[in-house]
Amino acid sequence: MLGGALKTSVNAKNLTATTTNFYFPAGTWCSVFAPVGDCFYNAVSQNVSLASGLDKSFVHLREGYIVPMQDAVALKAKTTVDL
Amino acid sequence: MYLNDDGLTTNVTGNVNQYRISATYSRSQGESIYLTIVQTMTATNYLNIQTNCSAVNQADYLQSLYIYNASSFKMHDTFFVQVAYEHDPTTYTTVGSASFDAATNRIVFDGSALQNPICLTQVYRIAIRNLA
Repeated sequence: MLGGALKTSVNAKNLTATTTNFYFPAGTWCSVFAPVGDCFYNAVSQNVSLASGLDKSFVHLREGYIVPMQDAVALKAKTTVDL
Repeated sequence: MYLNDDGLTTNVTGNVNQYRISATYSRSQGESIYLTIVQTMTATNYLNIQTNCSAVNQADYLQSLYIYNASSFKMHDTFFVQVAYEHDPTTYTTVGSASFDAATNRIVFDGSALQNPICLTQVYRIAIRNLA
């Protein structure tokens, strides 16, 4: 977890696994950077199966939170000075 | 809470903008999503007297808005995006439109093409409205 709103899911221990069960606390979770399809709802905290592998990682946003983000690509920023 | 500075200074006094952002949703008089911005620290050292904007850098301007899991509550697919400024918090100015993106299940406002960038230090509230 990154604070109470964001959860990262990455399996760095087994890079050949194509799916991994990741633990999610109860609530509704939406994939931030790959928002395809519906968000999912966990009535209770439980594992959720997600794709995994060398190029697979997820950041999920918890329902009810506002997360300001700075888009370095859109701002063409490599360092804070470029902002 | 959103905090922005130049990433270099260690002196926060007058060099940091900090905002507390909250959201509400209403179905009275159409459908509205309100984002209220309360500034809790102001980068007074960056105040532009002509524009009354205290932006430290581009990260103090509104870029885009994404509202996730929109199908769980939204009634409409298109919305006006309106801004009320601190100096006149009861008057809303339309700055663009937002639309529902079914593929990602989000309401999306792309502010990257705004002719007049919206300085967050001046904003009181952002309304995403369908008044139909």
